[in-house]
Amino acid sequence: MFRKTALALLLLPAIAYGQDRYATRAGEVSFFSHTPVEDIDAVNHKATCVADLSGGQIQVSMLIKAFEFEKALMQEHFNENYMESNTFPKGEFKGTIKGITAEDARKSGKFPVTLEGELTIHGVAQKRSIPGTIEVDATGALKATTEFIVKPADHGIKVPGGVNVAEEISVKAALDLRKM
Amino acid sequence: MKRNLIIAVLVLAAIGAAIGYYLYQKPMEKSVGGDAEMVVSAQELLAAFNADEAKAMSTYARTDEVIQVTGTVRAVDRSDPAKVNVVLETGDALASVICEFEPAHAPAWKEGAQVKVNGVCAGILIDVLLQRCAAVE
Repeated sequence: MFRKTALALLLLPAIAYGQDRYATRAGEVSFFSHTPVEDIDAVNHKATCVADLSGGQIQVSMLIKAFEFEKALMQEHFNENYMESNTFPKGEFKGTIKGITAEDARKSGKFPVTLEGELTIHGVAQKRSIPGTIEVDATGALKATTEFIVKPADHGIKVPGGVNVAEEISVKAALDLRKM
Repeated sequence: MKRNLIIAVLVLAAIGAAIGYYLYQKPMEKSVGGDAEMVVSAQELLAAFNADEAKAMSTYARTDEVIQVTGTVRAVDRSDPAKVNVVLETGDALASVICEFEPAHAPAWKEGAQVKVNGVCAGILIDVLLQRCAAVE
């Protein structure tokens, strides 16, 4: 679904939407959680994002298998036991972006924004309102950053009893969006 | 007799614990070693994902399975300091196969080169993603 929408947005002629579409295929998304036994952290260097500021729409998508851990066993357990990434290969956010207009993005500045929409992880969607910041640089590129909490239980991620996984995971995203 | 048995059990337990600790601490391989399970061209790989994503995931993107992708280099992207991304031609103007290398393992390929890459397939977003890549000589 993400792929069809993203490709459609990419293929639509620029004239119909002006110059207000921004995208990246190399966004960075990382997560971290602290437990008494050890810290769990992983990073994904291949998040894809398409944002249309005239329509106020944004979509972010990433492959679960693209999250890199330092330890091989941790990555294997993450994919096989918790995220079941063969069945649910992607994590996605689809929604609207409030707090920045196409006009705002034509000059340098820093804007607090709110992303409102659905966050789908492990096949389970949750409505979320996520605060973030968009910085417009001198070249007209947008740097979008955000940090928010995800609770594995909210997305049907089952953790066997006694296993060392936190109830809350801190997620950070840093997406450098270029005009399309 | 009983003492020897106790010692033997303790030694086995210690070996078991050592193996367990080694596996637990084993770092993730940043660039795959060994042989590929199968060979596929970049064009075929993208076509398979376009035709049936779930089937392509179970064929090409099994956990930790190394596949070999062959093709022509469309571009080499070094804009991300953490990775070198070799983009393979697929015949599709928008979508490609992206081969993600650690900078230390990145080959010095140029646009137009005919190449072979071993890696682990993570799936498809817009492009098919191959990770922990190693260049095949």
